[in-house]
Amino acid sequence: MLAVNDLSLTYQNNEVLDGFNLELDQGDIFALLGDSGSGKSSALRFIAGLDNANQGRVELDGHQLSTDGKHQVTPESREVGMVFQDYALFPHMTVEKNITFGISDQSKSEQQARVKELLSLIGLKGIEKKYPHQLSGGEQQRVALARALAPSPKLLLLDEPFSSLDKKHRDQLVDQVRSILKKAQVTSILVTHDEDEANVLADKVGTIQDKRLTIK
Amino acid sequence: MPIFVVALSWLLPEHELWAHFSENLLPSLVSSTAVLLVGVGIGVTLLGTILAYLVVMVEFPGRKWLEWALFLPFAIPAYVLAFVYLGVFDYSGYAQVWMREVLGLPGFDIRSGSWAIILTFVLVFYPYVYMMTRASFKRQKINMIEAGKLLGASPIKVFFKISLPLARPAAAAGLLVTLMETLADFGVVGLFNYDTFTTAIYSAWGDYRSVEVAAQLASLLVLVAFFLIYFEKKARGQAKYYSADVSNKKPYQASGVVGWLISLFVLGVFMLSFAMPMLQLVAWGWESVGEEWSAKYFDLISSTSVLTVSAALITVAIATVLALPGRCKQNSIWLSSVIRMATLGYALPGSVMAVGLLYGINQISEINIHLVVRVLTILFLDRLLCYYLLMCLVLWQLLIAQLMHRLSKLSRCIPKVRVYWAHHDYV
Repeated sequence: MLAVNDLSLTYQNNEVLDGFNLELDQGDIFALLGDSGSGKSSALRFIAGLDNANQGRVELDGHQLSTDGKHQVTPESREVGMVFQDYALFPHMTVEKNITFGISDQSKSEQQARVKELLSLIGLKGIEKKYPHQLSGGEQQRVALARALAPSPKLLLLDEPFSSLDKKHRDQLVDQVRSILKKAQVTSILVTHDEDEANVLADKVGTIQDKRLTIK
Repeated sequence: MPIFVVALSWLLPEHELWAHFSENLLPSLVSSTAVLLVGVGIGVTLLGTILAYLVVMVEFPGRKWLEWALFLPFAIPAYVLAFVYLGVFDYSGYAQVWMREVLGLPGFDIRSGSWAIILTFVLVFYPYVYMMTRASFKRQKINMIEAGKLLGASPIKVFFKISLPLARPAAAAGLLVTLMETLADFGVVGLFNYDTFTTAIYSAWGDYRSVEVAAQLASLLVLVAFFLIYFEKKARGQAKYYSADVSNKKPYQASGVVGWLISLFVLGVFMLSFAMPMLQLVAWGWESVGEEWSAKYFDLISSTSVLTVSAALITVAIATVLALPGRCKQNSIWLSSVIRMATLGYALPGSVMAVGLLYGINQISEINIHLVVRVLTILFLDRLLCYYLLMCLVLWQLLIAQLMHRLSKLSRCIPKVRVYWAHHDYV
């Protein structure tokens, strides 16, 4: 379903990945573990099409997205969703507007139905008209997840999505997110430096060692 | 005090003159001032915001130096730019002569209509909007734009739905300062023979010798100014700001033809607003310096320098003192209201300040209660006028500086006092 081959990239003038390969099946939840600066976030950004790499191919659902470290398909048309560490919600839009941002080509009634469905999936009903700053960190993170899931992406990327939450809320949310992802049946990659988090959330866990990926 | 004085002027109505002003001049003054404000407002908002977005969000050839070069028009006073453009594009200016004689096109009157004066104001004042929106775009998290891209949004949609709404309060603030400056301008409108409220204030005072009518007109100008502030406050609304992102990466790369087209556009603005007028000034200066130069220019330079440097020093000092308590966490209500009162005056166009203060002195000298005061006033009137001119300048600059400081605090961008020296036309 997803194939990343021969990825090599440089982070702050150091070569951090060389010969990185990863293959995932439909619905897999994969966790990518590594220390800071190990290149795990850079790999994620390359898969998203946001940054270039020295080398590497990305194939998703039979479509070639990137070759030779360059992107053939722009981030806008990759059908890849992403949840950022700091949520990156649009502060001037309500929860509803945030969620419908990626599905504005659909009809109003379709959009409303999708918002309802997603809010019930993330367990936060009745917050449509609230602004992001009126929500707690955990709630914001779940809204960010709903926003990324709204256009039904083929692949979902989660870049350290729990790192700005305290331990108690994090454990709760990790469980919740796993069940949300499983219900949505979306292929996902989680980047984290927390081994417990990786083990709870993912089906497969990989670690970056010697610039390559080792899967446990 | 200036507001109080100009408001007080309504107690001393000059019915005939006021009737003359309100019947014959006021309607056209209101409409010409409104046309000017709307035109300049739309122009600076579009130009300033687009330029800021391009230099912050898009990587294109020459971006780095153009980002700073676009601030340079701040160094040219509005009336100097107007002078250059009139010199070049007036009927006898070489641009029109060339158009008529070489291209065979009919000539045009640059002073007719309002497009030329609006364009001049836009070229000289766009840096206010550029400066404010650039800072705002820089504070927008790159993640937010990337999230938008991954949700399938085109660069145009990202601009209109994410970046622009978030920069709106900053654009409104820049727009407010621009409109205040336009409202207060005397140099450009004078050169273009364009009548506004400000020229009417000077005319009531100078031609009709009526400080009262001047003050009454000035009080209307204050109303307009407060109206603008009210709208700026309203426009600020609910928008939230974000802290600086460390990443220097640009969300968009414009390569090839698109990149060069963007460069050409930004360079064009820089050429029109700064480089070409400067070159023209140097060329004119070169032609006439031999015959024109005399010792009186030393006097002019020294009086300009004294006024500028002392106004700058006093402005920085007062602004710093006023801004300091704002840094403390526990403000007494008393202190903060005094500071708020002191900074309220940024709503005042310079002409109102001048009328208010000078009208005040005028009254003192006529009231005749204290002989001492009167003698002193007569004795020192000349000097007082100079001091008051200086004070007008200082206060006006202070207000702009305070406004900038407030906005910078509001947008949490810089943890120290920011004082901007804004150029002015008074000298």
